[in-house]
Amino acid sequence: MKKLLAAFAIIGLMSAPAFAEVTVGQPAPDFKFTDINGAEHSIAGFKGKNVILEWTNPGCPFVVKFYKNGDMAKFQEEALKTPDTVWISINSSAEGKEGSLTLEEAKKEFTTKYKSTTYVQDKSGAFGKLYGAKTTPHMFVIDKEGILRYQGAIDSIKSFDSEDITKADNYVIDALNAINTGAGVEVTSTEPYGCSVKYAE
Amino acid sequence: MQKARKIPFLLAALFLFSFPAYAQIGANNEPLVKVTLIAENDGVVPSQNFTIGIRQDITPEWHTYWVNPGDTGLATSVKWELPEGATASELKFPTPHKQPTGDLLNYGYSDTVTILSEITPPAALKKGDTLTLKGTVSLLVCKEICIPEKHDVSLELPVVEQASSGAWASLFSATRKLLPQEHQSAMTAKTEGDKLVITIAPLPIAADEMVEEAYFYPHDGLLIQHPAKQQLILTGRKATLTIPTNHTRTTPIENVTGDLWLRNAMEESSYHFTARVEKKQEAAIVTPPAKDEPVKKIEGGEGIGFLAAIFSAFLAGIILNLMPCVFPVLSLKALGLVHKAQKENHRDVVIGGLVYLAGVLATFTVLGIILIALRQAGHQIGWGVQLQSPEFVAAVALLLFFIGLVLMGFVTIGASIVGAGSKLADKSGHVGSFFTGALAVVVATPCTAPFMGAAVFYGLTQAAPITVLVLWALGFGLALPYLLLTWFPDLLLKHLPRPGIWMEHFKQFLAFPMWAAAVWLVWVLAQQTGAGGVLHVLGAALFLSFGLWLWKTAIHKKNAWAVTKRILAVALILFAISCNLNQPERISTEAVKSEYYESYSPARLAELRASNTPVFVNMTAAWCITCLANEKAALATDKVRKYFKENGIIYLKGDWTNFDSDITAYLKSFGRSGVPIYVFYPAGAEPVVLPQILTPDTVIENLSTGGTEK
Repeated sequence: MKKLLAAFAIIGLMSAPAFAEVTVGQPAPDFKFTDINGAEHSIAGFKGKNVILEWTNPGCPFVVKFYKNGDMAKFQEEALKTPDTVWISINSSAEGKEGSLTLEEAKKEFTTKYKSTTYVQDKSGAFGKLYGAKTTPHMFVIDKEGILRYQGAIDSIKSFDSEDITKADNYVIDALNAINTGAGVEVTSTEPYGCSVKYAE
Repeated sequence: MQKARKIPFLLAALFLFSFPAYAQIGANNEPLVKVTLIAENDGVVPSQNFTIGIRQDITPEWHTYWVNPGDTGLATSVKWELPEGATASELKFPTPHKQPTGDLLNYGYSDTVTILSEITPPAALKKGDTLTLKGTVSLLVCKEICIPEKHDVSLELPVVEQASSGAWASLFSATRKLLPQEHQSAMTAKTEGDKLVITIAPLPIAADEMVEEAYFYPHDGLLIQHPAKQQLILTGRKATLTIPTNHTRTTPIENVTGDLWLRNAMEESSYHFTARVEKKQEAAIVTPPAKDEPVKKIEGGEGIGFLAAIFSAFLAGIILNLMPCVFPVLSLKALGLVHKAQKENHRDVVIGGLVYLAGVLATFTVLGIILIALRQAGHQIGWGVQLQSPEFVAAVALLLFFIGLVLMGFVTIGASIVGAGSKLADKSGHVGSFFTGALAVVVATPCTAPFMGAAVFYGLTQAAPITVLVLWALGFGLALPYLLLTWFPDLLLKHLPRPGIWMEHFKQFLAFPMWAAAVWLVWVLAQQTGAGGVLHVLGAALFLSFGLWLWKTAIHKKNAWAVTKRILAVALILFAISCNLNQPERISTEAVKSEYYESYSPARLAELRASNTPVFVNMTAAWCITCLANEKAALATDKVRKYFKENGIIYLKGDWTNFDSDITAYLKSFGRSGVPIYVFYPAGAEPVVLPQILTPDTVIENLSTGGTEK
């Protein structure tokens, strides 16, 4: 009898996987969140805007690769020149894990290093797990209709060398430009590379 | 020593924690991985290629990555600075190990790994020269956090006329064994919905029939869900792995390449896997085995197609009607029909039959869902597994005892509601039909009919909808005889005497096969749990019947005493059920000592096969009537004993009364999901599977012609 109960428990578990995986071409799941400045947003509320989601962790060498020389800030500035576009940087490091920041630290981090629209602390990991964010960085591009158009790595060269940044194709900028000009996004899904997102155990 | 080495890095890690603003490991910190460039030989011979290795000694608990790092991480890479004219081959990585972190899975190495590369030296080399190889190795080393490291490595080798193996030669030969091996086996890949299905046949590993575990490490990081369970099915010498595909992939899967890792009791090894994805196929169509497959066609075994499986399941369902535990249920229904056909219109009778069918199908659906869930959870499942649960055996025994009481007339179910003619009665009658259907399935499960083994095995190894379809075919077969009777009641009525007291007597008589089946189940339970379980189930029967009797004495009375008795009766019945479900710990079925046979183990079988000894394998279970009948009628006879003795055949017996993964794997390898199975291994020849019904003569005939005929 215990075995049977266990079997039903398993069926229950199967229907609620720990990791969601969003699908390119499908509507991006809605999520309500508060940024470090206390402003409330939701993915659905951004309808009419292109939304770029960036998972970040200041302690991760792959994130460091993009921030130590201001490369990511340049990408953020470039992206936000596209009309009606927002870039949301999300830190899903759980309390006590690598990259977990206090509100003060996060504000300082954001104002000194970032040119994105806003910065979100997701210590519960709910945002990250809803989108199936696996690595830092892990990027998502959502179009004005709320459809996910790209997910995966930030660029084409998997390395921790900042010298490689200029040699690589930036998939996020490419996707955003394609959406903006109405051309089809060429590369729609790649394997993200980087450190694991430091979710709570 | 090692601890001391670790401390600076833990400090470095802490540094990263507390000062998250782009801290980097300083150049003066000792790295977490020691990287050395080594060569197999002690010198270079002009115009001869040679092998070098990048050896990593990794701080304990940290790991570096394979070509496909899995969900996160980064593969180790190298940027060579070679002398003009020299080239280096692509890196050859040993097959990695799984490195789980939280919900994610990575592929990599801990402790130590050597990655090989073949060097083609420059054309103009003279004896006495020195060849210098240089490179920068980039690697990511992770534990909870990740540290990138860059190592400049170099190696100087003298140019010689004749090279001899250097100090590292044994490390190189050990490393080569960890690389994926070449093989001649046929490989296929296809997608079925959101699953990738890959096959390899025959299995390249030695002792392939005993493969216990397999894992496919794909080169492409977007191919599969890395942390998902990879389901292995062995049919004969063919292995099938079913793996959930990565949902984030947006391009079609064309080529599937990677390392296929296999493990059996004796060894583990890995093999190159490469296959082009076959054009989309209907999930229902089974790929026929490769033409030149050197596998003997096993009776009722692999390759049974969808239609064949459906048909044999259907046939098996019909046969189930004749089994000792199902027959009384059916008889009862048929008798009910005699009454009904006289009192009700034909339409109601037909509806009753359809409701009975619905009951059967619904119960099989529930059974199917449970089996699929167990399979998803990674359990090895087979038909009859439910009987490996003492709780299930005890519950069915008590149920059969109770049905016997009903048949005897000791208990009248729903006497108050089966008022003739009322609308309500019609409805209750249909509810009754539904549950009779469910009951028929429950009591049928212990009986494995011929044909059913292969069909059910097929069903259990296919996608969930097919599993359910096969079970439905079985259910439809089970319900069909009664359905036919409801449509053509005259078939039965013509041949029966006029209704009368004989019907009551016949009904009472049917209690005895029910109780006989209960006696048998109690005996099975005794094998599983010992005397303790017997006490529980017989005690439960005692309390149940006492409770029922108490209820009867109080029926139709409304005074306080009667109410008390009724409450007591309910309490007793509930106590009986809980007592029955609360079975003592199962006893281990210890290896039976017998002069005639030995206990089966994969190792013993392999040993005997290796020493060219003829072996007879019998897989049995206490709850399998066919098995016991065969043993009694054939295997235990003097004739067969004598034949075994004279021909030096070793008799191995496996007991599947309680769950045993070795035996389940063995059954699977022959395309079976239940016992019995009888296999004869002639010395140095392919095994022969015997029929499921044995006589002394069929045994001896099969054994004497084994390996030469068919």
